[in-house]
Amino acid sequence: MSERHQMKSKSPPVIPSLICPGMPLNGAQIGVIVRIIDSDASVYVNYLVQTRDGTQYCAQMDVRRRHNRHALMRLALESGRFVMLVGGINSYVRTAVVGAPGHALVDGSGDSQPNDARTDRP
Amino acid sequence: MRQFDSSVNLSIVQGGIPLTGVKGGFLTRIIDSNDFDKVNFVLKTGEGVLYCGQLNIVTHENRNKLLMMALDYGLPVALSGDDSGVITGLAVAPSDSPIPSLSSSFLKLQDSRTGMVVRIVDKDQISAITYVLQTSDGSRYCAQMWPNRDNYDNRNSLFMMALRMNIPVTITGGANHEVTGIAIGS
Repeated sequence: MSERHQMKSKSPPVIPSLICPGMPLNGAQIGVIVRIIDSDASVYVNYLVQTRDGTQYCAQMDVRRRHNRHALMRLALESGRFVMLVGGINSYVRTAVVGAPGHALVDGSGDSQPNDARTDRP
Repeated sequence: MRQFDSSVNLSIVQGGIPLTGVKGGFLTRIIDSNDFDKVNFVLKTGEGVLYCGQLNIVTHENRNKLLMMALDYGLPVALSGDDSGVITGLAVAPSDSPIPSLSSSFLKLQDSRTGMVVRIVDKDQISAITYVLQTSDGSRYCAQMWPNRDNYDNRNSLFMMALRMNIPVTITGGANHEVTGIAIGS
């Protein structure tokens, strides 16, 4: 196998192994996980999170090191619950927050959406 | 002291007729035995007959996971048993689908395709787990994974999630129709 794509260079010029469409996640975003990708094309598992305005952000994580965080991401996809993700360097998931369906993760936002997981609203 | 010989134990298994041959239906319950490693799965066929198959959940952790999911979500399953009622193979299908067969002979997936996971097969003849994908034109493809591979646990759990949620997946297969990538969700 060629080592071309596997290079662990010190400071990669481009974001390595982000393989989903969408904006690279940088900073905090709140939305729903719409896709999880585990492919040989990427060293890490990729996640696609869609915010309320429809923008999709791509993030990645080493699931071998972050078992629990990955379990939260799978739970978020399966339950359709809102999740808050914080992306760091190379869109690596630094924080994942998943709440109960009634939890006001997206406080202060406007109209409801069909996939809005909240059941109550302050 | 009573002796628990496994061959004798099987014949007095409660919960149904010992499972021999291939039977399809829904799991109705599981029964722990005195032997911690062995669990009995009770299958109810369409005619209402109860069959009881035994599984060593230590040596067949993957089958245990699949059967527990089938029980949890009420998914149709097919089980095959040997002469003494030991489970030798199984297939799980999504809810609202017919009882699956244990067959995994479909087109070999050697590229990237999107569709639904319509069956997961784990049987003795092959030690790889087979995943059957049905594309929108109705064709069925199979791809496989070996449980000892690095990526297996995560990819298998994504396959299981896709099956029970009935959500689309995109699978990439390699030369040996080995799964090289999976994406679940929209």
